[in-house]
Amino acid sequence: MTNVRRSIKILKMVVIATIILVIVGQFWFWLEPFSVDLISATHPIISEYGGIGKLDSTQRAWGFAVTLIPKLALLWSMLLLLQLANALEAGRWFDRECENCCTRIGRWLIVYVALTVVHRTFLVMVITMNNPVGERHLALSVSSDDLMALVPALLALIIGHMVKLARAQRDELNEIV
Amino acid sequence: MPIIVRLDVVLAKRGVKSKDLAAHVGITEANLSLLKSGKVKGVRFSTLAAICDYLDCKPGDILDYTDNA
Repeated sequence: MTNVRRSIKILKMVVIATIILVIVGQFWFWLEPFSVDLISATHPIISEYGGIGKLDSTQRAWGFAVTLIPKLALLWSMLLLLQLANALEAGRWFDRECENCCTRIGRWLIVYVALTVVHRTFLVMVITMNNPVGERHLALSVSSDDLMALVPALLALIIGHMVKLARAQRDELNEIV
Repeated sequence: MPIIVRLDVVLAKRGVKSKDLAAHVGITEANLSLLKSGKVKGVRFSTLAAICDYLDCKPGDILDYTDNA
């Protein structure tokens, strides 16, 4: 049991670090993009269209908003994962809270994947919004990374269902004296 | 439920208190009360054996079956 508790503690630290990284990265990239360039961190779509230096402040504000939306879904999933880790640490492995956390994590990760696909379209529109008429772009792309991101989402949904079955079995076992 | 639990009858015949039986069998008084009222989903063989040992009876003295049909 000590190993399990240690693993849960490590999971919580990783989740908290991810949350901090996502928030700091989002603000840092759009507010101080040139310092981000110094560490060679680039956005693939923005680089394709000439880099963040070509965007004016309005485009950067819109870009910040558009890229923030899928990240909010991801952050919410991370917070639910933290809630799940707290429940597991307290020993509540088969409670309804765990089942609900797993199910909601799965659903929000699916939302995150969908928003990631959609946000690219809007980001390209923002990047090319100041281009002359006829040179503005509209793009729709789905990458293998998006499909891979569905795997943890579906796993979370399956685990949620397993917890539900386990709880039903535990409750039935408790009624046998 | 076609299974009828007559544990309370046997307890009364033997003059044994529920508290003492529960302590010997190793279940809580609450669970023993649920067992007496037939509100449990099942009984483990080990529990049944411990009850019969304490009350010096057979499982058939405690459990009965009625065909509702």
